[in-house]
Amino acid sequence: MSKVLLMFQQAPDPDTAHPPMDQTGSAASSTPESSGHWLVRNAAELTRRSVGLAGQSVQAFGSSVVHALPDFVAKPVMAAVDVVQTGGRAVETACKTSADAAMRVTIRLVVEIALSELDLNEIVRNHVDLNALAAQLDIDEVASRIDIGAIVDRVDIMGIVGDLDLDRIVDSVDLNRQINRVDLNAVAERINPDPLVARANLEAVIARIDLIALADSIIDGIDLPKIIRQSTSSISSEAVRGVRSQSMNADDAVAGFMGRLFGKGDASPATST
Amino acid sequence: MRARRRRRESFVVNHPAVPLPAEDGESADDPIRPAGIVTRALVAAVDTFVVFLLVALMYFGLVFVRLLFDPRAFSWPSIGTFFSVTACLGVAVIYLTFWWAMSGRTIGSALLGVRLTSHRLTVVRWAAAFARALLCVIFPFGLIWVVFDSRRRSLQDILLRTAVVYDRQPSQDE
Repeated sequence: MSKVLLMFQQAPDPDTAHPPMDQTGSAASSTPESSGHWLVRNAAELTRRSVGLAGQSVQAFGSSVVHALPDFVAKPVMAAVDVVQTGGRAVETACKTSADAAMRVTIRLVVEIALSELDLNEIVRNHVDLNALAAQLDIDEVASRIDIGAIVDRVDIMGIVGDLDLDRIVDSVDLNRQINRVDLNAVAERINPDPLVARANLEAVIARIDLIALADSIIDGIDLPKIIRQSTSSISSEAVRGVRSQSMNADDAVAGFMGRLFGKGDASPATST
Repeated sequence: MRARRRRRESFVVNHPAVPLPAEDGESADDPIRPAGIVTRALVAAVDTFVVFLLVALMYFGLVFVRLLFDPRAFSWPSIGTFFSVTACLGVAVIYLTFWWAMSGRTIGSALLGVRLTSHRLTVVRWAAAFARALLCVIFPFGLIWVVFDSRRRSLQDILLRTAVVYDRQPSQDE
C-alpha cells in the first residue's frame, strides 16, 4: 500500500514543468499580443491548470482513501488499478498506432487533393526566385557527375539518322543565303594547298584521263584558222597603219618645209568641195 | 544608168567615213586632207611594182602557152624594148583606169590609205580616170607639182580637177 501511495506521490506532474502563472491571469496585461491570440493561449492554459488541479485533488483524495481503507479492501483496489493501468497502456498503444496510420492516410489524401487543386508550376513561378537558386547551383559539379559516354551509348544514332529525311531537310535550306554569309576569300586564305597537292596522286589522275580525246575535243573547239587570220590581220593592219601614219607625217613635214622655204606657212589645206 | 551611177558615187563618198585611230591625231570629224608628195610617191612606187608584176605574169603566161603548144621548138621569147615599154605603159593605163573608176583606190592607194576623187569628192568617171591614167603614164613628173601647190595638186589633178585625199582607215574588224 505504501508503494502505491509512493507511486502516486512521485508520478510526474505535467503542470509542475511549466512555470507558475498568475492565478488571476494578469499576464494578459504584460504582453502586447493581439487580443485573439491572447484569449486562445490563456484559455488553453486555464484548462490545463484546471485539469491539473483536478488531478491533484483526485490523487490526494485517492491517497487519503487508500490510507484509510483496510488491507483487505486496498489490495483488490490496487489490483484493479494495475489492470486499469495495463489496459490503459494497451489502449494508448493501440490508439497511437491507429492514430499514426490514420494520420498517414489523412496526410496522403490531403496532399493528393492539394496537388490536384493547386498549380505547382504557377506557385513556383510566382513565389520562387529560380534565378537565385540557379545562381547557387554548381553547374560544374553537376556536369562532372554526368556520364556523357553512357548517355551517348544509349542513343541509337544510326536509327535516328535512318529516320531522317535528308532530302527534305536539304531542300528547306537556303544554301545561297548561307553561302553569302561565308567569307570565302578569308577561308581560301587559310587553306594551305601544299599538303593537299603533296598527297594527291596526280599520276593516277593523269593516267585515267584520255589525253588524246581531250586534246582532240579542245582542238575541235578552237577555230585555229580564224585565230591565225585574226592575228595575221592584226599584225598586217598594225604595219599598214604605221606606214600610213609615217607617210602622213612625212607629207606634213615636206609641206611645212616647202611652206617655210617659200614663206607660205604650212601648206596642208583641206580639200574644198 | 546615170542615176545608178550617181547613187553609187554617193554611196562611195558617204560611207567610207571610218574614224582614224587616235595615234594619227585625227578623228572622223577632221576635214578631208589632200595627200602629200611622200604618200603619193609611195603609192606610185607600189603601183609601178604591181604593173611590173602584171607584165611579168603576162610574159611568163606567154612563155607557158608557147611551151604548151610547141614544146620542141621552145625557146625564151626575145621581146623588144619598144614592145616591153609599150606593154608596161598599156598595162599601167588599164590598171590605173580600172581601179580609179571602180573605187578610186589602186592597190598602192589602198595600202597607203589614199583615194582619188573628183572635185566633188566623188569617184571619177571612166573617161576622167582613163585621161588621168594616160597623163600619169606619159608624164609622171607632174606629180612633183604636189610639193609646190598649196592644195597639194599634181599637174594631172589641176587639168582634170581631181584630188588624192587621205582615206579613212577601215576598222580593224575588216
